[in-house]
Amino acid sequence: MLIVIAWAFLSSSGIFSEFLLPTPAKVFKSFLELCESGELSRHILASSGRVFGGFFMAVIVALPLAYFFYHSPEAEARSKLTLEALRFIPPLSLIPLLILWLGIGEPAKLAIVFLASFFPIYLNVFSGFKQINSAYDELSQTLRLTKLEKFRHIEFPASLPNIFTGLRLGFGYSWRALVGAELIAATSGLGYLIGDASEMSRTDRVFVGILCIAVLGIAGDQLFQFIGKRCTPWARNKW
Amino acid sequence: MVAGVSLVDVSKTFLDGKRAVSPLKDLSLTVQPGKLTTVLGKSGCGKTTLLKVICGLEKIDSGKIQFFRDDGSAFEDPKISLVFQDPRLLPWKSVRENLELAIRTLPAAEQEKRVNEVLELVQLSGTADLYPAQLSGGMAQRIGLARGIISRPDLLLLDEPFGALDFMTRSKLQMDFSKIQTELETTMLLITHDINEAVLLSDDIAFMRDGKIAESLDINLPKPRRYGDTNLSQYQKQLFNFFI
Repeated sequence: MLIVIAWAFLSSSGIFSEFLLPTPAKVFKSFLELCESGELSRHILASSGRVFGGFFMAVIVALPLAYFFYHSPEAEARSKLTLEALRFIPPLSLIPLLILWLGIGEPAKLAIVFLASFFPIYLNVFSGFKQINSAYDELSQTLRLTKLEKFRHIEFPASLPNIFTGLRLGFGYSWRALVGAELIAATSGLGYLIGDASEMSRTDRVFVGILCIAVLGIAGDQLFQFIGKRCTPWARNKW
Repeated sequence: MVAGVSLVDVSKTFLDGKRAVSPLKDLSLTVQPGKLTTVLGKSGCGKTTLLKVICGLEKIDSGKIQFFRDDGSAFEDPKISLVFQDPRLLPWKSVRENLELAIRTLPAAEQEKRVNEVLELVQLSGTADLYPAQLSGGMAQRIGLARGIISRPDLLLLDEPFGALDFMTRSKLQMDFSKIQTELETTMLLITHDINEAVLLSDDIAFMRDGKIAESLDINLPKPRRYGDTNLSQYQKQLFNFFI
């Protein structure tokens, strides 16, 4: 609320021109216009689809890979350098290559989201597996748990708090990377909305796009936090 | 069914960094079926390693471990349970789920019956739906014990099960266990460094020193026993002499 009051004060005080800092009222009016025309929902749906698509693929790959490397320390040691190198490459720097390889359509954008969210998920899940109390190995041996039973009853629930941390971080990174990708190569999505509005000098619409991203990001994060809390009541101190 | 176990010249060596450590050196011990045998010894004398080799958590370097029935015949693959020093309950499972994990292959109705039975035995009826974080240390240890006995093992191994508890809780639990064990038809091997606990609970006591059984003692007193019974003190004195 304080931020909105400060924003309203600064934008109406004349310190900044309305072009640089539109008033909250103007931004809200643009928001309503975009809602009424259906343009905003179209962009939100396009961006959300890409985020969830790429994010889902990252989850599908990161979880089994983390589990495999947890049980294969040699394979993990051999792959570590390659993964570390890939981790330090900003996904947005790969856009030219991805467009060359995958075209300008959806696959390139999904790949950007995938690359942005994969490492936070993988690293947190892998760390979650590594943090499992080794005393549980003895317990699972004495209870004669099979590998599948051990995964179901011990490894998966023990690493669940870290899995949710990875999902939350990965989801946040997905949005960041997607909007970057949409700014460069897209005809729909919130990134496109921001880029297009910027070219048309519609700062008010730029603000609408930015605020939508913030709200959607917070909503997604809160959703993961809510589900995480419900699924891991024994790890309340982690949230 | 109860199982006895016989260890003959069992040796085990670990590498601790570059240093070789031998917690078991040609150790021989027989645990008679249906009895509670205690291995008593100072911390670090190899007691826990002894339990681990019996239940297969560690492999032995040499020697022989054999399980046998009442009649002396060989007992292949007996059901062995281990109660740890820390209760090692899974925090994401309720008490009921923790217990059911040990008997997961049984039908649901039988699982429920056994859970109720063991909870009553350890005097914690009504806690089935609680989570480990909601239990006190003593309650958690009782649940750990319940998990050890719920599968009705042929051999129950107890690794200092009361060692991590405060004096009052430990004493109460030891006396309760003295009653519980009379209802359990199983062989038990208890590891402890507590002389009083050993005398209170055991049929036989083996004193371990330098990786071997140095002394043995039979406790010929009726069960259940109680702290304060003057008959216990003669055995406590004898064991104290072993220690010093």
